[in-house]
Amino acid sequence: MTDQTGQAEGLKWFRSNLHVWAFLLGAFAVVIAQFADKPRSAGLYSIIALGPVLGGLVTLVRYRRSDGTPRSIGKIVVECGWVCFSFGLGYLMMLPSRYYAVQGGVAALLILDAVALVAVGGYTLYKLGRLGLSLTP
Amino acid sequence: MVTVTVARQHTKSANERRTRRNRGEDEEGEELSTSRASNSAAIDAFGDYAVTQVPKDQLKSPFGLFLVFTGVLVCIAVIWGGGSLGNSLSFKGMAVATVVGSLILGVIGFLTAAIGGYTRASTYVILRHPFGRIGSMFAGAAVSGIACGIGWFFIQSWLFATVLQTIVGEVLGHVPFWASAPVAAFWGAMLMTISAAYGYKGIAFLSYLAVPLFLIALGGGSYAAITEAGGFGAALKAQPAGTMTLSAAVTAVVGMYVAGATITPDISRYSEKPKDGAWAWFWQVVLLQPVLMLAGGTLTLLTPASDVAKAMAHLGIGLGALVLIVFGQWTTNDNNLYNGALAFANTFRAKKVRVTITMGFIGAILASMTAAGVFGADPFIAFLTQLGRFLPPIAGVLIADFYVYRPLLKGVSDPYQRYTFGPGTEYARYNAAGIVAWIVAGWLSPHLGGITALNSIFLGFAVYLGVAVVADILKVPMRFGTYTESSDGF
Repeated sequence: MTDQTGQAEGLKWFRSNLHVWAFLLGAFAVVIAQFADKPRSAGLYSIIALGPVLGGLVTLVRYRRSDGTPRSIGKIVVECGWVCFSFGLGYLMMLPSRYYAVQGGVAALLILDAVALVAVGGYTLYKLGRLGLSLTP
Repeated sequence: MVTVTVARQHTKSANERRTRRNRGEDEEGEELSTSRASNSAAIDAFGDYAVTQVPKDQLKSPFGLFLVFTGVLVCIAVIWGGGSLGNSLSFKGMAVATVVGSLILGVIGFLTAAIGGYTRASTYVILRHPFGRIGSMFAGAAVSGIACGIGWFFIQSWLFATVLQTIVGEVLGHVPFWASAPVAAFWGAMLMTISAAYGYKGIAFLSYLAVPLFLIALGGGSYAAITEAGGFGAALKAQPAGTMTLSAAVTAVVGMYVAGATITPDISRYSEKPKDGAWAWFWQVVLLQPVLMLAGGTLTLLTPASDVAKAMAHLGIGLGALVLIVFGQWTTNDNNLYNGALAFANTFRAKKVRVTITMGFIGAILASMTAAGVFGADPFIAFLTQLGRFLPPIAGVLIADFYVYRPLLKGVSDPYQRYTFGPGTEYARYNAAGIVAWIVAGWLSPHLGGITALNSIFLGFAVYLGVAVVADILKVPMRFGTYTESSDGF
C-alpha cells in the first residue's frame, strides 16, 4: 500500500493526461468510422466511440468538482481507465463480425485505436492498483 | 428512583452514541474517519460486511453502483421476457407497458435502496428491526437464501448452459465438449461463484468490465436482428399474434424484477450519499429495462423468435452473441449468489465466502444434473415462483416501517436514527407485526386479481401498519423476547 504522498505523485500523469487520451482516441475512432463503406458500421463504431469521448469530458468535469485528495482523484481516474478499457474491448468484440465488417484500411486503424484504448485503460488500472487504490471505486 | 434515572440517562446516551456512529460522527459531532466509525460499530468477522454496517471508507461511487445494478438487470431472461410481450402486444403497447412497469419498479426500488443508503446494512440485517432478530433469520433465509442463492442460481446456470450450447453450435458448426450443456452448467456456475465469493468488490469489478460490453453487443445485435427481420418501420406496423391487456403486461414487467427492487439495500448499502444507490437503481431500471425488453419484443413481433443472441450468431456477430450470454448471465447470477450468501450469513454464524462457495458448488451440481436430464427444471421453477410471492411483501413492510411507522407514528424523524445497529443493540427476537404482514401478504396476494407483485407490496405495507397501529392503541405487545447483537455483529 502506497502512502498518500506516493499516491498523489503516482496519480499526477493520469490526472493530467488520461482524460485527454480518452477523448482523443474516441474522437479519432469517430473520424475513422466515417470512412466505413457500410453506413451501419459507421454508425455503430461512432456510437461506441461516444463512450471514451464522453468519458474524457465527464472526467474533466469531475476533476473540477472533486476535493482534490488522492483518494477522490484516484476514483475518477480509475473510472476513466475502465471506460477506456471496456470500450476498447467493445471495438475488438464487434470488429470481427460479418454484419458490421469494414474494409481493410479502416479496420486496421480502428483495431489500432481499440488496442490503444485497451492499453491505456489497462495500464491505468494496473498502475493505480499498484498504488493501492481500489479498482472498484 | 435515582438508579432508574441514571439507567435511563445511560441508555439515552448509548442510543445517541449509536446514532452518531450510524452517521459516522464522533462524540463532538465531527466526521469520523471511516475505519474508526466501523471499528467502533462491529468487527467484520464474516467478510464483506455481511452482518455489519459498511464502513465509510468502503463506500462506492454512484457510477459504480449504477453499473452493478445494471449488471444485475441485464441478462437473457429479461430479453426473453420482452419477447413474450411481443407475442401479444403492438410496439406501442409494449413501449407503454415496459415504461410504466419500469417506473413502478424504479419507485419501489428507490424507496428500499434509500433505506440501505441510510443504514449501510444489507436487507437481512435491516429486517432485524421490523421482523425481529429471529424473524429476519427465517425471512432472509427463505426468500433470498434458498430462493435466490440456491434456486434461481442453479436455474440461471442451467439456462446459461443451454443457450451457450446452442450459440456455440451455431458459431462453430458443432458443439465441443466444454460447451455441452452439463459441462458448461458446471463451469459457468463455478465462474459465477468466483466473482460472488469476492463479495461486492468481485461483482463490481466484473460489472465495470462487462456491462459496457454487454450494452454494445446488445445494441449492435438488436439493431442487426431487427433490421434483417424487416426494420423498425415494419415493427411499428406489425400486429401481434395474440392479445393481452395493458395491466397484464405491466404485471409481467413488474413481476419479472420486483424481487430485485426489494433487495436493493444489498447493493445500495455501499452508497457514498444515502440516495446515491437509490438514484442509481432508479435510472438503470427506468432507462435500460424498457430497451432490453423492447429489443426482445420487437424481434418477436417481426419473427416467430425473440432470441437476439441466436439471431446475432446467424448474422455473423458470434463473438457479440457469446458476450451477451456469458456476461449477461454472469453479472446477474453472481448477484443471486451474493444476495443468498448475505441472507444466510445473517442466519448462520459462518464466513460469507464459505457460504458462497458451498452454495455455488451445490448450484453447479444441480445445474449440471438438470442439463444432463437427470431431472427437469419445471418443478423447481414452480416451487421458486411460489416462494417468490413472499419476497415483495418484505419491501412493503420495510417501506411502511421506515417511511411511515417510525417517523410519523413513533416520532423518529431523523432517517439515520430509525434503525440503529452495532454491538449491544437490542432487537426483539420476533416482531409479530412484520411477520404477520409478510405471511398474510404473500399468501393473499395472488387471490386478489390485478398486479400480484404490487398486491403483495401494498398488502405488506397496509397489514404491517394496521397491525402495528392497532397493537399500539390496544397496548398489545408485538415484540417478543430480546436478542442482543454481539461484537461481531451477529
